[in-house]
Amino acid sequence: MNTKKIYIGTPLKRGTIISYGIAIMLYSCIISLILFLFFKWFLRFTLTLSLSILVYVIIVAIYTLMLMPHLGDMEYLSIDDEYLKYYYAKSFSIKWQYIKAFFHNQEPHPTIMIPIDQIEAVRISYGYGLAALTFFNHTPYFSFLLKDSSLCNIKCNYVLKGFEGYQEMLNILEKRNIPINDCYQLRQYLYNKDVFGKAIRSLEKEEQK
Amino acid sequence: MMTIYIDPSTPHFKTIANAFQSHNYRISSNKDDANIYFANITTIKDIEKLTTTKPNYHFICLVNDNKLLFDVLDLNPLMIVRATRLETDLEACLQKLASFNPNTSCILEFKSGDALVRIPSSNIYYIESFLHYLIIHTPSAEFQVRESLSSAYQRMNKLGFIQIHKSYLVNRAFVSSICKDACLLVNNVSLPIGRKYKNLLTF
Repeated sequence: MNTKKIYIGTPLKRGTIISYGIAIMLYSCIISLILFLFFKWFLRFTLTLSLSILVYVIIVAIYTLMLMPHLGDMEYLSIDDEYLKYYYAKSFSIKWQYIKAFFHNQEPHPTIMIPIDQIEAVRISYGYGLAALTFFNHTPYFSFLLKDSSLCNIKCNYVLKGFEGYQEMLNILEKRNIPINDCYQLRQYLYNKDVFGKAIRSLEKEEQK
Repeated sequence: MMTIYIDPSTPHFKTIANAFQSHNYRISSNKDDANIYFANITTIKDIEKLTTTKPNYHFICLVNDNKLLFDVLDLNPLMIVRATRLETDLEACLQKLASFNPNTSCILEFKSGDALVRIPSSNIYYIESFLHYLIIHTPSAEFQVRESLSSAYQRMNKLGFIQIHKSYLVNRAFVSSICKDACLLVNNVSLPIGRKYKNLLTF
C-alpha cells in the first residue's frame, strides 16, 4: 500500500520562504530609507556611506529575525502509510527550526508522531477555537486512542485555512481497519468550515431543546 | 503476587482465567482481595456503575462494543481488551502486566501544542530534553511537550523514573542493562549516562 502523504494545513515551501524573505528585505529597505531621511533632514545627522550600509544590514537582520518565523502555517497534520504526525510551533526557537527545515526541504521534528498501526480507534468531536480578532469558531477535535491505552486529543485549530485533507485522513485510517467513532455524525460535514459550523450550531440547538 | 478479580459475567471467563493463571496470577472470587479488576463492559451503564462506586482497583476492561472504547477511559484502565480481538489483546495485556507495578502507575496528562495527551506512566520508556521541550517516548508514539526536565522529574520521581543524564529521565521498569557509560533499554535504545549521575544510579 503506497498512499500519498496527506497534509491538513499547509507547510511552508522553500519558494514561499524566499518570497517572504524578499518581501521582508524590501520592507526593511523602506524602513531604513525613512530612518535615513529622518536622521538627515530632521536631526541634521548624516551618516557616512559605510555606516549607513551597516545600519541597513542591522535593520534587515533584525526584521528578518523577528518576522520570518511568524509567517506561514506552523501548525498542521500529516498522514501517510506509516505515521500520523502533528506539527506545532509556538515558541520563537522552534519556529526558526521549522523555517530552517522547510528551507532545506526537510521535515521539522513533529510535536506528536504516532505510527498508524498503533492507533486503536479515532473519535471525531468538536470544540471552540479562536478565530480572527476575538471571535470563536467551531473546531474539529480528533481523539486518537492508542493500543497502549494512551489518549491523544488533537484540537485542529486551523479551520480558517480550509478543511482539505480531513476526509482523506479518515479514509486512510478506515482502510487500515481503525474504527472511527463519530458520535455526533460530523464526518459528513468535514469538508467546509461554514458547513461544519452550521452543522454544529444546529446540533447545539437540538440539544438545548 | 498480583490478584485479579474477573467479572463473573465476562464471556470466555474460563479462557481469560486460564491465561492469567498460566502466568502465575492469582484469580480471586472476592473483589476485596484483588488489586486488578477485569471488568466486562457491554453498555455505558457498566462504566457509570464502576465510576460512581470508585473502587480502588486497576482496571482491565473487556469492551464488547467499539463505540465504548473512548467512554471506558473514564475508568483509567490499565489495558483495554477488545472482545473481537480477545486473544491478541489478552497476550498484549499479559506482556504489559509483567512490567506493571501497582504502586508506581498513574495517568499523566501533558499539553503538546494544541493537543492534550494522556499517558499511563507505566507506558513511558524514557523522556528526553530538547530545547525548552521534552520528548516523551512510549511504545506507541512520541510526544513533544513544553515542560522542563527538572519539573518532570519532580512529578515522576515517585513513579519509578530516574535521571541518568542532564537530558534524560528513564523508567526503571524498562532498563535491561547498564554498561559503563550507557543504559540499555528493553526496546534496544541506548542512552548515555552522565558523569554526575553515575554514582546516584541504584537498581
